[in-house]
Amino acid sequence: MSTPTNDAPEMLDVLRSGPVGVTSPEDVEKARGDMLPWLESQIAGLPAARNVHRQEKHARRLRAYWVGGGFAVAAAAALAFFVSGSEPEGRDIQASFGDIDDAPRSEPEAFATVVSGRVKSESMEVFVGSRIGLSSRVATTDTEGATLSASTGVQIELDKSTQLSLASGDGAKTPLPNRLVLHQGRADFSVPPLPSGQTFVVRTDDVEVTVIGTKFSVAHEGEFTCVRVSEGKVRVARGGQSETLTRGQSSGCDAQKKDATKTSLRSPRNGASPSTTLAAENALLTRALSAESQGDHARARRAFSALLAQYPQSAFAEDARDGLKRLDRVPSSE
Amino acid sequence: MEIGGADDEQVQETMAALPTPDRSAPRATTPPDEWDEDALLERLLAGDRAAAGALYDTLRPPIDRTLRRVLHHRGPDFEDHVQATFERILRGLAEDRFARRSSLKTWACAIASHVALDALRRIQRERGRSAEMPEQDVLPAGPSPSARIESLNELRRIQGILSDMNPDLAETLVMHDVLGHKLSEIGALRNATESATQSRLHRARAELKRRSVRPINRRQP
Repeated sequence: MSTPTNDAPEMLDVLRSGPVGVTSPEDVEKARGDMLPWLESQIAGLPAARNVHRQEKHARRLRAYWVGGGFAVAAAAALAFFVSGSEPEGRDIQASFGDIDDAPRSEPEAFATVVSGRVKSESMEVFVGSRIGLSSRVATTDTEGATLSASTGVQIELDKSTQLSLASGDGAKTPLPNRLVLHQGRADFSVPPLPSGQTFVVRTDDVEVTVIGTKFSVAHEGEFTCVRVSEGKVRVARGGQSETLTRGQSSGCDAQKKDATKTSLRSPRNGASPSTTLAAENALLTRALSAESQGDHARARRAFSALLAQYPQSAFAEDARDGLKRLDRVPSSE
Repeated sequence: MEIGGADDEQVQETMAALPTPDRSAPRATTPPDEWDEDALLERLLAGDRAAAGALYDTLRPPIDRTLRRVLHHRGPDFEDHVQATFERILRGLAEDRFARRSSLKTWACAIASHVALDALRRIQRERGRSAEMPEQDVLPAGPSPSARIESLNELRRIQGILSDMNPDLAETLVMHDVLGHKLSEIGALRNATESATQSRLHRARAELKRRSVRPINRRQP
């Protein structure tokens, strides 16, 4: 051991030398006896204290992530706005967050955070506050559901005995954080309004639900998948055909006997059956949106107008009016 | 540099003279020499109350020695300082701050020196507020009463300087020059190289020397 040479050690001789008090064996034993019960209680609480510390540490990281992620998303959205501001709205309903995937993301592997409840990933329990990565498959227990909060702002309520994958699951080259696969059980989703051209997708074996910004639930039991919409609008693709669902509508729930009575639809026009008018209304809206996205504004205007004229009480009426307003804003030279 | 070894021996001998603990009792009193440090840590982190006796028996001697060397007395607060040291050790374990770069005993010594320096600062503040000096239970060594009183004054002067110094530098000085730990051990505690620790020690000694030529008791009006 080499040390610098000066007189410091000699100055400290007064500390290093001399008596510092003598303790009798009785005092030592008494001190030990006094200290041990307290020490035992402290040690017994050590695992819990560690857990609390880890969760607090995790929460601090998470807050930092959310702040950083928020800035990154805002910057990316601003960039996307300036770069593609001239493109028509609703140009591609199937577009995904891949539109901004080139934007820097602080922690791309972070996707969802367990907010409450019990979740397991590959038999390991995921604690509240922990993050779940993109490639994870999570499951709730038979007795308790869970709530997840995705980094995209989507809130996911998992029912008991539900299994969900956070990867895209569709063989996409880049797994995007806006795709989920529901393997079993039921999950309720609350999707914040998404920027133009961005969607949120939930897949089961037979259904792909594409969301623009809404609250909805997907239940997948056996061969059946039931989709219910609480707010907003989703598009459901099943067996090569797609339909758009709005608030209060559902799809595939009749096949599930236990849920059949819960299906709620709006009142049909002229006494027609709900399924009859729904299909027609849906066809008109789909035609209008499709035409609008292809730039055929005249055909889109006709379809929106027909929807409003034939089904003025339709749940799609507001969408049709919004569509017409959008078309009105398009310059007449087009 | 081997300083304070006699203190350790004294404590160990005193503890060895204690009656053999009753192994049938629910409280664990397994002798520390039967505990590997890793095993002890593993049981502590698992919340095994039975590890309390082994932890105490393993760490009390180095904690005791560190506190006595810095404070130089066993006042009524001494056991509180020991308890504060154990509390900080357990909190450090709970917060995963023990990175196992040094032995558990060396880490405990560093924490005890921290507690002792905190206590010195508190004592200095109290001395600054009160004209009366706290009672000193043991006078330093000296050939005559006047020499011992002189040593006591010198002790208080050095303690005052340590309490005024930058805490990191004071801790390095205490760990190396008072307790005799190696630079490599101190560096490992701070995740620093030996040369960086030596540089820190050099600065600590320079600050000690610089402060020692200043008039003492400058805090008092």
